[in-house]
Amino acid sequence: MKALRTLTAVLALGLCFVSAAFAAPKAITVASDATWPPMEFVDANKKIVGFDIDFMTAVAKEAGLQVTFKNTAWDGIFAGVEAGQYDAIISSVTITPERQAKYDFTNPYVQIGQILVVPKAEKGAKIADLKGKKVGAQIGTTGAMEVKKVAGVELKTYDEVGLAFEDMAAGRIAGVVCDEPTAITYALQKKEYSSKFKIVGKSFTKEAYGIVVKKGNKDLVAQLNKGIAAVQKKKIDTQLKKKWQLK
Amino acid sequence: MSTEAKKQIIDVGDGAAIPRKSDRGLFTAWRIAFFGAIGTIFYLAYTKPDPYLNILKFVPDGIAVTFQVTLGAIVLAIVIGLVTGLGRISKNRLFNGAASLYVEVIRGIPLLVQIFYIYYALGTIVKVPAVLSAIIAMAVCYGAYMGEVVRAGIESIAKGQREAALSLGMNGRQTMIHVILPQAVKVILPPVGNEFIALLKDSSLVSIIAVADLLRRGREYASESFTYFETYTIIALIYLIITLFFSKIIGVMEERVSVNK
Amino acid sequence: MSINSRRKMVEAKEIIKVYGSFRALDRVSLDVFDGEKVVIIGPSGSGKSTLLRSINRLEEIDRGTIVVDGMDLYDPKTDISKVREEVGMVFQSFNLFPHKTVLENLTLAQIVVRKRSKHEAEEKAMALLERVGLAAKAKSYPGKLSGGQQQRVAIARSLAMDPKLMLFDEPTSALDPEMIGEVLDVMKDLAKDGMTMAVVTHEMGFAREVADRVIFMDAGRIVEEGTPEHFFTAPTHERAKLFLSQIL
Repeated sequence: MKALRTLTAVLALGLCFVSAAFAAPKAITVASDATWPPMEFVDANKKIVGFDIDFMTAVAKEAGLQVTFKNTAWDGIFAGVEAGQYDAIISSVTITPERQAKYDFTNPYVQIGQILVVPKAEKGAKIADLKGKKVGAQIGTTGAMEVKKVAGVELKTYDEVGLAFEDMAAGRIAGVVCDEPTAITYALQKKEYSSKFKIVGKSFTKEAYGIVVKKGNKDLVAQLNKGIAAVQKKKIDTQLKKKWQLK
Repeated sequence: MSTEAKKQIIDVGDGAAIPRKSDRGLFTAWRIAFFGAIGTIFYLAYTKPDPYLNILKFVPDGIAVTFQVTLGAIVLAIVIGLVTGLGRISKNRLFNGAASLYVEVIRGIPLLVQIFYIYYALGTIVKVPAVLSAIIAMAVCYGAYMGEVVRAGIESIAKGQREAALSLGMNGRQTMIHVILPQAVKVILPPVGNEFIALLKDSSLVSIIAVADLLRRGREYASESFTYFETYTIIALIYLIITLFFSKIIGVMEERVSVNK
Repeated sequence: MSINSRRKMVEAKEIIKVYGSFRALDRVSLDVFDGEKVVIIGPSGSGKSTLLRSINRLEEIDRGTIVVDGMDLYDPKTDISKVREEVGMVFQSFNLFPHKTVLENLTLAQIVVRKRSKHEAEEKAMALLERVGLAAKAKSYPGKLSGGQQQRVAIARSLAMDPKLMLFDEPTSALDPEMIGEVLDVMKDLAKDGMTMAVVTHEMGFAREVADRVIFMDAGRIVEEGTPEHFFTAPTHERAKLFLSQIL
């Protein structure tokens, strides 16, 4: 009996140690392509900021993780997580079946949709109206895939969505497709563009962003999901949406 | 006159090695690389059609654009290089100064920056299609290097040739056209061949300004299929086959010209 | 026959040519009369080639005047190419155009400068090649010819322009000894025909036989001038005596 009690005490003590070790914040590196305002971008102080960054920081805090951000070019950002150069990606990544086949995602944390931005003079209101013209999107984004689906419209891919808007300002392309929050930032809030561009129609896809981790990294997905749940329960994400002017 | 020394100086290409008959080792290396690359592509496409065959089906229009940019740029660069080279040896101070300034400025700016600059700077002034602005950017850059090749080629022709032509009553222009340039072409051809190969490879940089060349087509494929390793394997092999093919052609052309002498 | 009664083909006055601090030509004056054969001799570095080359302005002078066939070389209105059309020049290193055949070497300037038809130019060229004994080599490239043959082609190339004056800048100095004779023969033949010639050479036999006048230069100046008999038998200047004692 005494022996059993001693054993229980030892076990309990051991469990304490284990859980204490577990509670110590684990450091993770998260990649983000900071060219996608207001979700992730570099501010005047060369700091990566945006909704995703604030959200990830909050999630990490709730999950007991220590997070470092790494600004990474979009083209190849998935290859990096696969190669283990960082642990996760938070970069307005839409959850798609193709991506899910190759990588693991957390639960969705934001709902958005693709939307079309055109020059003020353009009469067309959807991608199909721009037949015979070029429409730009960032390489490897759901926006690019949407343009590609429309026959007769030539997709032009860019390394950064900002370059697509710049090309549209120069008259080289007739439209840009991207996530609605980013479209709002470029077409309505940037001084150089707000007089030239307009958003047409409503967002035409239903997409959700998730955080990406390497296939099979179940522990990290579970931790992040726990964090996301906590953040949502505390309505932190609602505050952040207000802060970054998301709908 | 140290004509020999000057002739050696202009051999400054950074392209793929151009095979020469006398260079047996290089010739064999060329064969192994060329046929090896072709064999590898066929093997991969046959044994693993997904993704390799799919990649091969996706990129051909990109290869066409790469050729378009390279050929357009080399032709324009040779024209610019000819004018610049003549300017660099001209006694006209304005012409000479302008050519020298151009060479100095261009050689001091990385090609990638020039491509961005010409694309976006030109875009604010005139509406130029992406491919054309890529061609202009490459040609402006390579024109400066070509100008130096032309200058060195002209200077490598013995002074006596010019004097003989002048003493026959030819003016400067006639001397250049009938006596100096035809001889300089033979000297210039190898470095121009080198520049061509280097330009072919550098043309991949234009994918940065959304020109749908071979590299960008590859990047597009990889970004949607997430087959980065496989895609870049194919892209690298295609570039290798193209550059080796052209280095061989240039090598043969050079031999023809030197035999003709 | 009095040379002085003839027209002056070349009239150089007080010309000075400076390389850095070195005076290659130091107040040199020289007249060459129509039909006259002047041979310029002197040690190397004496300025004789520089003087010859300044006559068709391959060498720019710093001071003085040069008038050739009535045209002032340094008059801004003078087209130097026009002067050079009338003045043939033969170089020590031949300077044939290696990318052109022998025939093309002879026709190029005729067509480009004299605006002759290809047919006319080729007829003229063949006649001249015949004259220098190289008609059989018309289709060859200069690289296939011996030095002596190349120099004969070079002379024919100059003659194709129908020059009024021929300048020879050490035409045999780069030749093997056995080839000197064939070139000198062509030059003697030319002299017999009455061509006005200025020749820089070390061939004293040629000077004796052909020259109307021998000019001896030293350190950028003309120090002795006279008929071959006078110069070779009774030179007055010390430097000329020394030069002759060394060379003969």
